[in-house]
Amino acid sequence: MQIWMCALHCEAKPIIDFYRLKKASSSAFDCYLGENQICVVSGIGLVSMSAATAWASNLLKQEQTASWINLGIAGHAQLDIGRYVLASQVTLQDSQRAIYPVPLIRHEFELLPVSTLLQPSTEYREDCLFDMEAYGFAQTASRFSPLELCQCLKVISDNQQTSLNRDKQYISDLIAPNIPAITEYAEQLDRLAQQLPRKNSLPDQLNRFLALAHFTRSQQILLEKMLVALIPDPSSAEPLFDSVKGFASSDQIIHHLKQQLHDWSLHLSARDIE
Amino acid sequence: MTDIVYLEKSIREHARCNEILRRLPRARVIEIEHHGEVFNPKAQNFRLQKLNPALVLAEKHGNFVLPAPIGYAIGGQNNYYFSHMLNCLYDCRYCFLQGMYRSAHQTIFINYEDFASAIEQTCATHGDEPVWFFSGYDCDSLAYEPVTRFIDFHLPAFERISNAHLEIRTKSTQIRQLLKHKPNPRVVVAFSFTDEATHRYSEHQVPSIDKRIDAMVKLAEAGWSLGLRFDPLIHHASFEAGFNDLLQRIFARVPTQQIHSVALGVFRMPKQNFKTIHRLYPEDKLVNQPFEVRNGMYSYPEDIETTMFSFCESALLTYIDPSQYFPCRW
Repeated sequence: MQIWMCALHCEAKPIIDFYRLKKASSSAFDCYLGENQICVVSGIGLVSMSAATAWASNLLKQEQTASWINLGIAGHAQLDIGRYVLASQVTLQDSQRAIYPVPLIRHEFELLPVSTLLQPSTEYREDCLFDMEAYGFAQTASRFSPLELCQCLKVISDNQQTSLNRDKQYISDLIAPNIPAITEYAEQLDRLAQQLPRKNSLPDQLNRFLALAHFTRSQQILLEKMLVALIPDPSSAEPLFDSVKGFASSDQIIHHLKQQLHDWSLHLSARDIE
Repeated sequence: MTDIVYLEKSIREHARCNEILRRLPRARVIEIEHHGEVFNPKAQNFRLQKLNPALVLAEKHGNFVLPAPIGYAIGGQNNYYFSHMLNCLYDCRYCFLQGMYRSAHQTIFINYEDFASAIEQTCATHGDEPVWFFSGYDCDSLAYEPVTRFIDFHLPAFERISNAHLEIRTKSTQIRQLLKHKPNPRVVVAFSFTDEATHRYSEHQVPSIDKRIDAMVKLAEAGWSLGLRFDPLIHHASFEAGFNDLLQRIFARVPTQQIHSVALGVFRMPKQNFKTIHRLYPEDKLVNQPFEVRNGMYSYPEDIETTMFSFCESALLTYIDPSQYFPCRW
């Protein structure tokens, strides 16, 4: 699952259009849903972005790790309008604390620090971009996914020569031409997220095993851990389930599964080796 | 090749940093205040970073040389280790570094001269007694040598200190720099091996066994003292046949008279490190093996460990003299 966090609807619109996302009925934040995409419009500012990011995390399934992208506009002293920048470092105005969204994917965007301001400013700097949300996004999103999967992608909307134009169409038009590069990057980020193992066993499978006997809480935790390894995909569940359904107690089931796990782990088969 | 280099601002003018950056012309440089900013944050994933780790160039302040852990010795009484680098190019599933650090970025401490001074001072405290230094504890000593040139710097330094001994522990085949130097009898180049099945299953990006044997042969021909490290031994269904095969392949080509030492150790890992690795790789066979906790370490049950140890010991001693053998029991 991939979550796009934008401050303004006009920043989100090219993404909503590209993925053909449908508006969800929600009162807290404007939210648009697709098969593998969620786009949330937070409103301007660090607090709004933090709140919306935390709110969006509740839309995720627990067992998968999501990738997050904060897409929006930013200012810089010299960079051309329309240039794309991936944040190499995110700081909060006047704060020493920095967040480094780890860039693992090869890309063609500029890589520069972003400083999040609490108020708009035209005191542009050459060593970093100004925005108003990135820090709130990075700090909150990294509670739910590792920093490698929380990226801030900014398009330059204003600089020393060109003051900020707040026209919605103008902002959407800055983003739209780069949609192929942005979505290509997003797909790579999503593939990266899929490299992580499930956080928990498949809930349906776990429930089937739990229904066979009474498991203590510690047995449930152990069972869940074992099933992550023993049932890598739903197709491998049936034979394993058949092998334990004759057992009467949770102790017997746990003992049998442990044995299965150990036997499996000690056979470094040709398939593993290839 | 490295895409991203994090560089501490205070050392951006350091000649060694510039040399390293020249060797990485495509890398993008991100300046940082202190390496801890990128190395220590909690919200990182070691497994993901291992797919494309960045390089961190930093300066180390203090603790250049530390006492070696118990059992980390090859015959000497005074044992120390030093880490000019944190993390390794390779990705071995049994490695404790995965559970020790939050980041998989490779951190190089560029103030080599401070390491050399600390080594010299440590040797001075032991009079004429031999003092052993192990350089491959928190990293692979040689794998990143084309970039770091650390060994290239340190070999002459060790030559100057008459009681200093060095173990360069590696799984790499980066021996070009070593071959440019005259062999030093107080330096042992120790190669780590596991059997073929374990190597293929769990040692990602590590050169093949045969390529490592090739490297050993070249070093032996040049007169270098060599070490063999079978640590950790990993148990599996065909472990015994695998170990025998490994020994046959090594000793068919590497002359035993060039072997300074052979160390053997069965898998063991501090409890907390193991739990972290289990969280990172819950589906991996190695972390699901039948381990138990003994004395705060995850390891095989005592009976399995004893059987593995005695089997390997007997097999080894058909090839080498007992004086070359250093079991690592904990």
